[in-house]
Amino acid sequence: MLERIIRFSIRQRWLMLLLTLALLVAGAWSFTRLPIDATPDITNVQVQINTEAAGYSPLESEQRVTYPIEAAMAGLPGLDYTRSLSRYGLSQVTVVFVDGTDLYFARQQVAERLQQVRAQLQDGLEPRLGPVATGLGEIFMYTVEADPAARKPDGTPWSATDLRTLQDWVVRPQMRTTRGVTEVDTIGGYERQVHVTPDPARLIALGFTLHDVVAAIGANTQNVGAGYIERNGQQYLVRVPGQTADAEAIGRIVLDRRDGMPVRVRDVATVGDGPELRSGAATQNGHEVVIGTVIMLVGANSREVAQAAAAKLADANASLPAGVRATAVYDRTALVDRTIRTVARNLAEGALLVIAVLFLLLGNARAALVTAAVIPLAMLLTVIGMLRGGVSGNLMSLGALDFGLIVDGAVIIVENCLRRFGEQQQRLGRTMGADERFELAASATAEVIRPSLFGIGIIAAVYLPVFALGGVEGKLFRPMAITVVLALGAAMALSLTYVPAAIAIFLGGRVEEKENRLVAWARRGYAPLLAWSLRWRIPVVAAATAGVVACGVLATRLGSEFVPSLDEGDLVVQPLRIPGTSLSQAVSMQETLEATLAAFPEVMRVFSKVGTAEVASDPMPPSVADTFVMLKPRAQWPDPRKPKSALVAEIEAAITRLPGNNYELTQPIQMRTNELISGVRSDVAVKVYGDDLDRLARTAARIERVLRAVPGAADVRTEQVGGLPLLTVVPDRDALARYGLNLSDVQATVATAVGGEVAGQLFDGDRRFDIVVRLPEHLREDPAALADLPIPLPVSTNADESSRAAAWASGSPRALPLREVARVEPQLGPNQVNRENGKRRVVVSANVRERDLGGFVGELRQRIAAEVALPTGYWVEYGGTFEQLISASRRLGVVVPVTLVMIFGLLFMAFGSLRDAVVVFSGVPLALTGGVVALALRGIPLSISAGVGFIALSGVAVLNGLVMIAFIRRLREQGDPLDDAIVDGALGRLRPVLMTALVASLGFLPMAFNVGAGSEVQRPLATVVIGGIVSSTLLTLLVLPALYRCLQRDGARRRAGSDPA
Amino acid sequence: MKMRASILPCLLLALLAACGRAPQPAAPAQAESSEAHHDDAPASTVIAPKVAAASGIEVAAAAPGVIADEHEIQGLLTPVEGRVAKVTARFPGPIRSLRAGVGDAVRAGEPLATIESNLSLTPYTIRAPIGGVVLERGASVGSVAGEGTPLYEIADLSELWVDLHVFGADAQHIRAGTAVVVTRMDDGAVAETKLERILPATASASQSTIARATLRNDDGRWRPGTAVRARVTVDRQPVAIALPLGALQTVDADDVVYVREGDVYSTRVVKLGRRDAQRAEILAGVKAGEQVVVVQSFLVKADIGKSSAEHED
Repeated sequence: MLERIIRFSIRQRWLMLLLTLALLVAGAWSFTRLPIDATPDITNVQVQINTEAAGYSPLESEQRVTYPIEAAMAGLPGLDYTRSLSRYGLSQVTVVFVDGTDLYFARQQVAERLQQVRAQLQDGLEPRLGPVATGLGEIFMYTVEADPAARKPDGTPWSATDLRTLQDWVVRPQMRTTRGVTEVDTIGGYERQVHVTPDPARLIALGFTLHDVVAAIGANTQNVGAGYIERNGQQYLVRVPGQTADAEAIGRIVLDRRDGMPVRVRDVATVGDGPELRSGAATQNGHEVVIGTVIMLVGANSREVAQAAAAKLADANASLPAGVRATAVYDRTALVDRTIRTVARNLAEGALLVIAVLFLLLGNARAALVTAAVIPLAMLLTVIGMLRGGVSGNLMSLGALDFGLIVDGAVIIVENCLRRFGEQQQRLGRTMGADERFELAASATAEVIRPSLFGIGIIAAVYLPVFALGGVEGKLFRPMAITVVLALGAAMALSLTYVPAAIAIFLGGRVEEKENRLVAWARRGYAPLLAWSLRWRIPVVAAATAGVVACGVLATRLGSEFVPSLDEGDLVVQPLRIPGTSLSQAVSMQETLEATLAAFPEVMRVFSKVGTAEVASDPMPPSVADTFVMLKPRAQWPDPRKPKSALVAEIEAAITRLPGNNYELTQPIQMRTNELISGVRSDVAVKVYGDDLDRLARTAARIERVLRAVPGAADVRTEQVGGLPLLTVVPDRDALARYGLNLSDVQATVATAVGGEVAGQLFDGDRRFDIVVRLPEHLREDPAALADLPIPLPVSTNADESSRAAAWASGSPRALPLREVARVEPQLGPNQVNRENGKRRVVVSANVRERDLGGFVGELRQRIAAEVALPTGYWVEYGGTFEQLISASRRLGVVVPVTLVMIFGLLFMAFGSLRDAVVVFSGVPLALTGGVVALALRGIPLSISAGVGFIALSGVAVLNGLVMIAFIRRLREQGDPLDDAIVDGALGRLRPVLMTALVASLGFLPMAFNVGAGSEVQRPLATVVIGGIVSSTLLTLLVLPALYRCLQRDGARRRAGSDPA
Repeated sequence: MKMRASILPCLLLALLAACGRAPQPAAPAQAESSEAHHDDAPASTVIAPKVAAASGIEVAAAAPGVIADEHEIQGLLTPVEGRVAKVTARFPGPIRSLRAGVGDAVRAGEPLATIESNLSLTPYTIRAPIGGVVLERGASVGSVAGEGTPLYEIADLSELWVDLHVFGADAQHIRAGTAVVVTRMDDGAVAETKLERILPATASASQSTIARATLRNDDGRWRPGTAVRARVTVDRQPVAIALPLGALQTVDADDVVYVREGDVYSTRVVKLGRRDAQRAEILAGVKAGEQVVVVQSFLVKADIGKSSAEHED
């Protein structure tokens, strides 16, 4: 079968080349279409529902907004779970669907349900779906800032409000139209508002209420359309304009006519631009700016969209007034380009090394080129597959690809052909004819194709366990496995088709096939060593076994880490402050922090987003800020080779000295993804569900105490829910009754006075600004003044006898101070209310150190059941990564043995001999020893990257063993005695074994010492492969023949015990 | 052989299982927060002087001070009773002349009008009973003034009453003699005076009582009928230790201040006495002379409490 394909390829060699060419074109085209991003997307399928509820405290927003929305989402098709958080002025419900649900389908379902909820919500509450984006969505950020010297036409400097207005009405509309952009989010500055701030004393003096002012403005700022009339065949539209144009016009609005005199708004209030009550701010290098974030649509090509956004920003800049500019501060293109550069460099270096090694060892430039061409071809084929399979190009999927390994099959084929050509020429004493050559090429290829195909198949099979990973690990590593398998498949296909065809075409004429000095020298050195090893085969095998055992022990001593975090090149410092930190306090603390960060010579730019942006997809309280630290390109660092971890440690040390901040250090994409996934990130989580927040907190505290006492618990913490300072205005119902006031009178007055009420809109061309009525700032901010807030008294119409009492010249008052009917008390309230699956919950989490997770969880369950009495209606659930860990281990526990059996089965198929299969199979643990030693020497912990290295290594080890044993067997079939066959076979395969080893390990050398983009994925992988290949080559060359020799002699006796399963 | 072959699955298993471990969140805070849980919250922190200065933290010695209890009250200006005079015709008859117009200042005894009496048919002169300003002129020349028809209303506006509406509890502790600062709303002019009396009755509809003060109307711009704003200093008490309100913070429902000793800032739970718009009296918790953080005390609170700060979404 294989041979027929090979012969067909050689016969139709030109067709093959033509097809290859077509492939080249198709691949190049696919490459331009392939979505390329920096990291794989690990966001789950989720729909966020954000509802702004101005003025609602956490409890109110939970009760009035979150609960009805959450309840409506129950039972959606494909629903995984819902979670929600309710904060001051915001409710966010996140509906998570099972993986694989179509996002647009999910959104539609959610939108339908929302339609039903609308009726239950109070007027003015508008639930909105979050942007159609994933954790990779925030691809581009820009600041709008003014030159400090620049002045507006009226001579005043540009204020934060002006900048925000420019962003909202000039920059943002342009950016939004960029293809692939779903949303442009704004944070910072103040939205322009026209503030009408009545003086309460004047209101009382004139007998107006705040509501009168609101009503008067509302009634005098609207346009009305009045249909049309026809006149002489012409149609006239009728309109009655009433919009106010500026603050002055608002001031002229009449409140009432008293004694023939109009009383206008300006008589009781000041009208002017004022700052909104904002929920977020943005700073850069210590001063306030406005930051726009371009959010990419799901599935778009981040590089293209970021570039388009950058181009759009340049256009937008042209329309900004002189002295104001929009500057890109974060551009994903840089990261993506860096990723592409890394991949491109791997490709180029791989090709160069292969050519160099092949040329050195084969001494044939044409053969070297034919083999090297497999690299770009396999790459392009892979890209076609990735595009079809929906796998995006990123550091994970492309970064770990090593083409040295992938061309191994082709190397073996070319080497064998070349050797056979050389031998044939020598025998014939002339150059071969075309037909002779084709025939020989076919048979030489067929000779090694089976082992090399099996080798490739085995490498692919070793990746199977990776496919079995679920959750975040699965999303991270499956693309990597898919890509590698695709690349291997491509290489396999090419070995069958392109390689023989190209050999047939290009290796005509006199073939330069000479043992060059290097190989000859290696062979001279190898022969006595081989003889020695064969003579002392028992001790050699025993020593190897001991080595494997020792390394197994060593492996358990290595630390382990999850996925090495992908270096995005930039940092995010998240200062966490105590709940209740005010926005202006946070901004001033941010200034100190930014100054400290900017002092580092490696830092190019620091900017931060404090609190929640306009689109509340990341609802942070003002006490949390995202501080983006953009680093300079490495070349501009004082020490370009300084590892990033060292820099991070220095930064951390410096900022820890600043008072009042606690920090989390992450990276832009990582942070955003974490926010979206937002699961519990510790090993074990005890979730307490219940109704009453205080009881929940008390129960959680008890559970925390139990959890702490369980051996192995570390980093125990309870989710914080309280601590938000509230100023509660507690109405005194008796007093209200005495004065004949309604509760709502007090509530409405306080709400308007402190929070403000939108009375209408001011239009300025396309721009519109809210007209807000509220108290002057100096009164709003002072709790004592709040207590003096006048509450209008109802006009008493049915005065009875008892109301006669005191009638003074000064009349009786029309308003009374708030303190008469309510107490103003500072309190601590819930900072936020978290819910999951429709119930309030508090999480107590812990990590587990030096103890097996299963046992820990078992003991914990037992102790909590025994020691914590849960109130009725309260229950606990156990979650955390331990679930995934246990399910992953269980799955791997099945998949890994199955894979091993499969590999063994493949080997058995290849040889039809259990013994030989065992011999080749033994190469795997032998190869792993080198990897473990290399990791230990460099102090790198075990990680999935290292795991992938081990996987690749097992493949190479099997491949080499396979080829060598196959060769020895062929010699024996030809009738050579056992010992001769072993020696000749081993010596004969020295060159390809050395070649594959060199190609693979040299190709990884730069990666192993790389500090740039992608290095954290590649370094462990490269280290393992280099270490492993050194050991594997030594072992293939020395131990394998010895082992083979052992097994051949007393194989019959040991066969029974050799089954590896 | 068996052993060797079984090492591979073990290794792979160990490896992959190890890789599946949770990412250890990069937060350096983890360890810290587990030690410093809120139950036994640390009560102090160390801030280097340079950092403190850069962050704007300022301290001041706890010292005696005065607590003034002040209230903002709305009021109305009225003429002083007894300084308002209504000028009426004693005998009915046609008015022959009127000598003063609204706004004219008149002296006591100054002739204001002449009326021809219907009884005697002779004109008689009506004089101003008090000196003051003509507020109202109720008749015109030629018309017949009946008996008791008010012709003029004259008021002496050199002094005015400020009627302040006092509600509920305030009526109990505001006493005659309390200092009042009256502010004119239109131009912000200020006059100081003292409460003269608290009127005995309460208006039933508004449950308010009038506190009355007399105001000297030197510039003549205090006009009766004008609404004014008054700040009543109910009480001025010298106290042993008074701290600016900026020094106070609340931790778990306790009032606290932060005391600096060297570079150590420690939490002191304090018992608060009276307070006014600027200062609060400290009854217990801080001794005079101790260095208390008065500016950016929140920063100290934040620093002490930072271990509990976390990302909550």
